[in-house]
Amino acid sequence: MTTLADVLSVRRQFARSASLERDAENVEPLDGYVVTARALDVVERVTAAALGPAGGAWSITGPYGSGKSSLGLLLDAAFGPPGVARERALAKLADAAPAAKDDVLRALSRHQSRSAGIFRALVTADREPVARTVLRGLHRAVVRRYGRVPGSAEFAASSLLKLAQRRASRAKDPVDPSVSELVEIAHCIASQSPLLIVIDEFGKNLEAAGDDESSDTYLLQRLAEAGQGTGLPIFVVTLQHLSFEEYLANADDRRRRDWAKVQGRFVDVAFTESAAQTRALIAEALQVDDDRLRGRIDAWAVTHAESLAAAGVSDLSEPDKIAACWPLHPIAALVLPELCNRFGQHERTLFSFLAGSESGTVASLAADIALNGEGELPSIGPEAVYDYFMDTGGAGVSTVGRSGRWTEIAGRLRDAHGLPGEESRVIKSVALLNLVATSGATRASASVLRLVDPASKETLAGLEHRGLLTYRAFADEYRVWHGTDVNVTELTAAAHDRIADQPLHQVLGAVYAVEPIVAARHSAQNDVVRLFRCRFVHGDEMIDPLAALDAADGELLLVTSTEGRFPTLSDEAIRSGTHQRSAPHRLWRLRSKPVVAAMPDEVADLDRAAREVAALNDVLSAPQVENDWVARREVGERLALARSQLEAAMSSTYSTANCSWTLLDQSAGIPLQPGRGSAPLSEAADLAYPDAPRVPNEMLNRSELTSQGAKARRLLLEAMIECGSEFRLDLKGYGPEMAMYEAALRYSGVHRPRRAGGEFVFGRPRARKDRVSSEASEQIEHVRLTHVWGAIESAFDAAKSSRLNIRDLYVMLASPPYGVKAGVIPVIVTAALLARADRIAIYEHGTFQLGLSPELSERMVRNPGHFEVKHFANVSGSRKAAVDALAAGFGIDPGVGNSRVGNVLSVTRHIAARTRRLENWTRCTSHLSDRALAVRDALTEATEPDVLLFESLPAALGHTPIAATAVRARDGVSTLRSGGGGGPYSAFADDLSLSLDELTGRCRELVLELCAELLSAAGERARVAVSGPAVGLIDEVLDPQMRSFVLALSNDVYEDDHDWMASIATVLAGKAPSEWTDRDLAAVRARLPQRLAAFNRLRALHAERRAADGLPFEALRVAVTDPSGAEEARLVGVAHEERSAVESAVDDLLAKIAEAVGSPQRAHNAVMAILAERLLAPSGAAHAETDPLSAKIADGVR
Amino acid sequence: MTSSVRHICGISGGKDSSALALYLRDRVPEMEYFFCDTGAELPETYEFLTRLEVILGKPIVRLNSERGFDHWFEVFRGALPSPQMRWCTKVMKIKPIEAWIGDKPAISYVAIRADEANRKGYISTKPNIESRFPFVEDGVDHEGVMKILDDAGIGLPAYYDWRTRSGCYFCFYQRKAEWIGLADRHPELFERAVAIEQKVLLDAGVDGNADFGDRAMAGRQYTWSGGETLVQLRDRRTEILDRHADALARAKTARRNIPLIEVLADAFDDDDSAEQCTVCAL
Ligand code: SF4
Repeated sequence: MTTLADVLSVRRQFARSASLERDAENVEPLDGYVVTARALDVVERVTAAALGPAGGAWSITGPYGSGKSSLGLLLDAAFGPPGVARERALAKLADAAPAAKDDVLRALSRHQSRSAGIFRALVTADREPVARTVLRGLHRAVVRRYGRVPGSAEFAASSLLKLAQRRASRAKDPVDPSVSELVEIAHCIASQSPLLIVIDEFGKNLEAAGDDESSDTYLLQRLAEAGQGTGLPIFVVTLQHLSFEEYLANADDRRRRDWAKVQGRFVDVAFTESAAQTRALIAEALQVDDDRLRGRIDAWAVTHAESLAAAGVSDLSEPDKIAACWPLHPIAALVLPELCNRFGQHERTLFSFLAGSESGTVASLAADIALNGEGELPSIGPEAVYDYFMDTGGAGVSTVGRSGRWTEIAGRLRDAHGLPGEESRVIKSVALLNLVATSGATRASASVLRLVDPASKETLAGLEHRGLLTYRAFADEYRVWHGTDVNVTELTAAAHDRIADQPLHQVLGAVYAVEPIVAARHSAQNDVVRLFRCRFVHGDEMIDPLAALDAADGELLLVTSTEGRFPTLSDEAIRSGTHQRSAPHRLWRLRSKPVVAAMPDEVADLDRAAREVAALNDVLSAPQVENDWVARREVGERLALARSQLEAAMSSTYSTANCSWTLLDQSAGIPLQPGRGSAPLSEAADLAYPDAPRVPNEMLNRSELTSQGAKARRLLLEAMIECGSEFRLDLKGYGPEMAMYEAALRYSGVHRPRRAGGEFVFGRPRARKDRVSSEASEQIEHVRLTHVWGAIESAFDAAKSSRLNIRDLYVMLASPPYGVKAGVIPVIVTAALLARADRIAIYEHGTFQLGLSPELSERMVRNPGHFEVKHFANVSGSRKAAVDALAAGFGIDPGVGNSRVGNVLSVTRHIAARTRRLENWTRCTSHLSDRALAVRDALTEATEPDVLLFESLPAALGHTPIAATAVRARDGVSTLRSGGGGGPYSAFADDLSLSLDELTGRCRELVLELCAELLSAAGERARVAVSGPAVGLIDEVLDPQMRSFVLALSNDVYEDDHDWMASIATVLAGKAPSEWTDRDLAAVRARLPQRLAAFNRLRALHAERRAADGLPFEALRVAVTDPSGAEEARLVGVAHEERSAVESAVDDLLAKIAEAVGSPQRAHNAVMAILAERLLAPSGAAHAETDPLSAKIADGVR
Repeated sequence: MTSSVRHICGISGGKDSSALALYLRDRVPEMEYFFCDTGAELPETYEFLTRLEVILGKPIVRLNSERGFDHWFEVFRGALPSPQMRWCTKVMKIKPIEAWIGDKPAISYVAIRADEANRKGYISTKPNIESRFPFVEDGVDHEGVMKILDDAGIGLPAYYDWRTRSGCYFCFYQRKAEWIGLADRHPELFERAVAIEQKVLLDAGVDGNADFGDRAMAGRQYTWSGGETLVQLRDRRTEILDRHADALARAKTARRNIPLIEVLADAFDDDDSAEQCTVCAL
């Protein structure tokens, strides 16, 4: 018997996985290799780059088994030295695209590498740092070229490479090479001949990177940049299964962000084949050896093609394509690619099904299928595919992709096993179709199933009858799983009706979130990420552009109408026309961030897809669907499909080539070239932001800083303010603040020494005078800060008569043509403020501030709108004379900072600093000279420095105001007093100095006056003469007020008379002198002599007792209020020694009186009243004077 | 500076820490006194501090004076502190204290009284700081504290008439009756607190007030005092004062012969929380 196996040979490519290192020198692995469209695309990209000016970096992401490693081998061979391998590779390429071969050869010639090939660092990564992998690759590339690592005469980086290799491979403590070493080696290689680095299994590096700290990210970034930036032909290709993020799922945020940055340096290439490409592979693999069969196969194919076309299946309707897949049944060929992608390892699974030797594969089935000489050709149908994938779980069929549906279908068919041949064949076909597709033409419809079995109608009816299948009439689809009573189609149609009137842009806005798009080319060239926010609009709309301080750099309007009308910008967006720039392009007519509109040629597909998604969304939330899981699942599936169709419609509708692109302005707009990817956005960004500075620091040059970035910027701003004159702002180490400094201030030439070796200053970007090397100038040119700086200076210059709000400055800098990122603006503005510190006054909440301080800067960064600045130019004429006189009078050093001789601000700041901390008493007392009072008023009311200096203060001091005139001192003469030596305004300066001295010193003076009063009242000259004796009295005073007074007197911990008196005065007033009002002062003045008199008596009493017997006594304060309310107080005492005698006498007395008046209590009262009367009544005063045992106290104000 | 160990004593503006400062004036001559200035203390507190400073004859170092509450309110754009998010104490007190102390060994004197030995003050967790409790060690109780203050002639801070603690005028640990006290004594500060509650900083911004309403947690109505806005609270003035009077009476009968300050401190209205700011109130 002749079997299929006799006429068929199944090629075995992909039968084993390729290994870059193992297979690179062999020709054989390329033997069965088919250059797929994807592979060709990558080769073309690399070739194009090699023909261009620079290198490139690509990250190829594709699933297991998609042939990435083979692609690596293809690249390796094609760019290798002449020989069989290169011949093979080039021939394969030529098969796929004839031009590809020529391009590769041209690229080799361009780099003079045709005779030796380029350096190819092919390497497979392990779970290890990238540095180790790259080193291995580089070493290999060199060895493959020279047979060994040659000496340094031939290869400059020879010793570096050898050393690195040795360190990395030693058994004990191996050390990975550093980034700079590897980059140097790579540079050295690439300067001889191009370097191609291919890292297979790069995911393992990424996994390792997720685990630990390393500088890997930086290495790849440097390598990728080495190729993209400055023209060295370095090409980096990484091959991995998943995207970067997926590998790093467990890494911390910072590492993920780092890697995201690296990924930004790579062009991403998704390495999956389309179904048609996969079928081309199938065709390639199945070769019919017997040409006599050709005719029969073709006839077979034509019949099936017709049936397929009739069933509406357009994916596989060309007879030759069907024929090429024989003996696979067209339905099998139709489902296989999707099946392999979803449930297997792509091509690897495909080929194991085709060529594997286990049972169930095409190769083994072919041996059992008889091939008759005539009649219909046998074929391998969907049931075989089903068996291989579902039943036997053939090699490479993974379980990962298996959804709930897989399990359910497999389960139901297992329940139904033992069905007769026809039924089994049909139900398996239905199952298979159910698995890979649910709608569209490739579904288990009656007409498709007729292809599997012409008599399927009856078979299906039987299966349906037995409940093994359901037919869903509205979808014309058979299913092996549950149906539902909810008519999803009807509901969907109703939902469609509901949204029929809604304009497309609204429908889309609700169902499709467009991520912001990076203007890639512009961003890469300008060291900044320019982001365009996207939204859907109708062409008739009037657009308000983004706010200047919005985080996005522009907006992309996806127009949903095609009538040829672009949206228009609102009037507000149009610049008034006063702003002129020398650069000759058109965008400076706009004041706002760029708004790009993309108008598609065609929106029908998009409209359909969007409304379908919207309608299904609606259906999904309908109550009957919510409660029916089958319906829910069906809607869910439809929705998933609709979403993917919407996705597809979006990318084709708004693909650059299918749209016309316009940058909106006030007239017809500026047309943009479609180009590739985000090219139109890059063009718009070029036009909008020609004067943006290039600040090569990703942490700073962005719209929103990370918290780490914000901290570093805060440190930088603080250092700018506090250490502006120091080399590198006195920043230590290499923290992020240093990187920010270098990027924004150092390279730009904004912070540099005033003169060689001199102190550093901020100023207009400029090279250091001593080394105007071309390199430094180039760098400054590159950073391109001059325009921005100039704009800030002009804004400052214009702020002479009215203040400039800092927020307005921010807005200007964020808008075209500057487009400075929000992270950078505060740094530049602060530098400019510092550069002009001598002329720019800062106001916060409308109030003049002494200057920039770190805390003020923190607030300014957050709320620029709370700040204003005003420019005070250096004055001339009489005002200059006055300012000079004041500066001289105050001893302000003219050489400080950037300030030139005596300007308005430095004098004002001096005055403000001196009077900032006036005591509360000084602020409100009237015990000041008239001049000082007037100066105090002038200072409190002043808001503007110049008004204060030239108008209010002269007026307060009785001088004439100083007019802004260029005539020197003419009118100053009239105010000149005799003896004012220095100049016409020295009298003014002297008067002001005196008043300021009075204001700042009066409070202290007052306390000293009180001290003098106290000492004289105490009849002493020095405070020790008072405090010393007071110590001895402490234990003898019981009255709390008197006691604290005496304690205060006795306390001599104070430095000087002032402090001592201040504490006494505080005790007397219950408030510190600096907090007094004039009433407090009056009260103290009244109390002080009274207390002192009491103290003096106490002292005398004490002295007398001491003299008499040296015995201690107790003093007591007695106060009596007479009926008129007048109060008399007296300090009375009893010596310890006398106490018992007195007490017994008093007891006797009281006992006697008690008898007389009736009760002890009344006796007490009577005695007290009479004693008080005698002792304290005014008549008794004279008597008291002579009694050393009592002292009179009268408290003034109570 | 002979010894390398610093001696430090924090002043809160309340009676205990002031008494401790006075108590230690002669005992620890090298003492450094400090006060964390939130820029939002009561005027009475500032006045009292100067009083204390003069009597101590030594400066009380004002920590944090550059970055007071208004500064942070602006920097955080209207995010308000609360018991759950108590950034106020952290950024205005703890951080400045720790920065000021540095890493040198230091002895910190804490004003916990002998009669409240189980209370917690701010006790630093930094290893170089050793805490001492002189009042506990020497058995100085409430009466002792009052005597120290009387002898020094310094008296009490004037806010004790209506409030039991020092601290920010808007402190969210205030009792409702204390809010009413603020409204009575310092209507302008009460207005400021009302504005802040609505995320508005009065007299800030270039033209008038700075409104952060659309910034931090926009749309969320914050209230300083549980369950109601300050305006609502003020409208309940009589009710709150009545309740407070009741609570006072209750506290008085519960404990006899105790000074008014203590009664105030014990008198909780039912809807007041008993928590407080341990760094701020000692
Ligand atoms: S007193 Fe209250 S508001 Fe002020 S810092 Fe302490 S907890 Fe915060």
